[in-house]
Amino acid sequence: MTSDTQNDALISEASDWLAYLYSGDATDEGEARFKAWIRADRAHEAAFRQVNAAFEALDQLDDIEQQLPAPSARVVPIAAAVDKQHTPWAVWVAGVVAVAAALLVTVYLPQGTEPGLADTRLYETGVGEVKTVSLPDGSVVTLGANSALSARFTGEERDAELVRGRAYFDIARDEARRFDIAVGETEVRVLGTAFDIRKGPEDVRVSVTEGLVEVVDRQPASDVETPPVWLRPGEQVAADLSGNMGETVSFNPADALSWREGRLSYADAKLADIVADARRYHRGEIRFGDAAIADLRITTSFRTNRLDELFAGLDAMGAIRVDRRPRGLIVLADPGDAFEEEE
Amino acid sequence: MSDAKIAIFRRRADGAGTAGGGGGRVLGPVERLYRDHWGGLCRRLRRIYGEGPPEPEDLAQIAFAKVIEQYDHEAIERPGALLFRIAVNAGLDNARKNSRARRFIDDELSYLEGSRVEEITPSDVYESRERLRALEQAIKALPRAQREALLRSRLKGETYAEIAAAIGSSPASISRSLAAATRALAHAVGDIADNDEDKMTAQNRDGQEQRRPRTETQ
Repeated sequence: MTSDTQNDALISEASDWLAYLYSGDATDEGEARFKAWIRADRAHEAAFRQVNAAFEALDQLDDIEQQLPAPSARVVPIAAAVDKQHTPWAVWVAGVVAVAAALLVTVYLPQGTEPGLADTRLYETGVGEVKTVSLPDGSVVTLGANSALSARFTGEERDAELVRGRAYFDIARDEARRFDIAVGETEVRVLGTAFDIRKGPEDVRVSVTEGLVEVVDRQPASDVETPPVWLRPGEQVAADLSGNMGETVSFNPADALSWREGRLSYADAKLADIVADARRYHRGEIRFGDAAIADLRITTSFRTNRLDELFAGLDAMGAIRVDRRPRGLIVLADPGDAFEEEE
Repeated sequence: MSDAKIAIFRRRADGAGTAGGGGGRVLGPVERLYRDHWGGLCRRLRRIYGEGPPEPEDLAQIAFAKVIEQYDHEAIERPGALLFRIAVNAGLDNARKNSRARRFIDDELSYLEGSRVEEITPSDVYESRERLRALEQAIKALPRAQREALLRSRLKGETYAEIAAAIGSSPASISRSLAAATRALAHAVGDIADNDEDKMTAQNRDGQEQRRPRTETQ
């Protein structure tokens, strides 16, 4: 009996802690007190686990959302907005994406005569290919599909240029030699950190996972010197093709870097951006049959060797209609329009 | 272009289930998953979020992508439930304070777990049907205000200040409601013997771990 009462008291305490932690007002100090409490006694931990498990399990209940009052007004019934159906696109044949034969080239350009001028190396990947390369200074670069990076190292400098595509850099720390990476009109400067650079059709995006990264406009338009942007882990900045930088935003590393494991993930991204990336993994051409849909904003995720999943998803949602033509040509159209031609 | 986005999602948002006419076309597993669950999932999410943000269709798409990527989706017992769960979690990621609290709790619990149990991610373990039934009863038995506070916090990730503003109360009283509600739920499920056999996705977890190795080894 006593133990039951004791247990009830502990469940009560544990519930109070859970309510405190999820209040939105929990402080570091409060969290520290919680830790002290839960670590003090196995019985505390057991009680908290019981409460937490019940709370966590709620989303497994059928129709749990029906227990919430209906959201106010603005809801438009989905069915009302459904318009005519269209012929679904033909089933995709697996293996649409031809994975290019491994193509990693290291080109040694002629050595300069100036003392200390080291060799410039060019690293390249083919369509559908992702490669990890080690640079002479010990840095490791994962190069995305259809991407190119040149690197030049001297005793004093580490210079690189992301010529096209995308790369994830894990830069070996060297306080004496800064690592500079030029990307179009943008330059990224670091001592030793890890970050991702994507050179897209409309912008250059830098996303930092470790350390501190400096991003600068190489040729500011005005004579007023534009200050560099300093990025910390979890932060991202995009610069347009003239080098003008936007606001620093936070990003989800799991999404932004999943391309290294053969997956691309997007939250509220322009279809144009998604297709720009998809093109790096598809041998044929991917074309917009309708320019307007390039601006659609999409949240999606797909394996880079299974572009069919991307298109199956978009098609099933009614976002776009996918028309497959001979020789790997893919035409993306507005699902509202009828096909103009049969083949 | 956000108007266009809404339009496109509505166009065929109830799934292509009756997109007949094609005659004899074989649906792939991915298309079948969309056809069977897209509409239902969006409807459930709409009840929680209305028109958003986050938009129900965005969350649904995240959930589909995850399931297609990480699970053998033809072997999942209740794909609808799994999709809903992932979508709700994705929604909670947008609620910063709530997801911070959840992370803090997860970290502390796995710290305590230490080497005792390896490789069990609590959020991957599904409750037995018996426990779920008990939980369901307990929810229905809650006073309405407690129930609403509980679900606004758990499903929408709202802070108590937000809940209080929405339903006309004070954060302190929301906090009390929440504590009372979770206490009642814990008692309801605590009475039932632990039985975690009925895991919706047990057979998939290992494969998932292999496919997504943790690269961040700090």
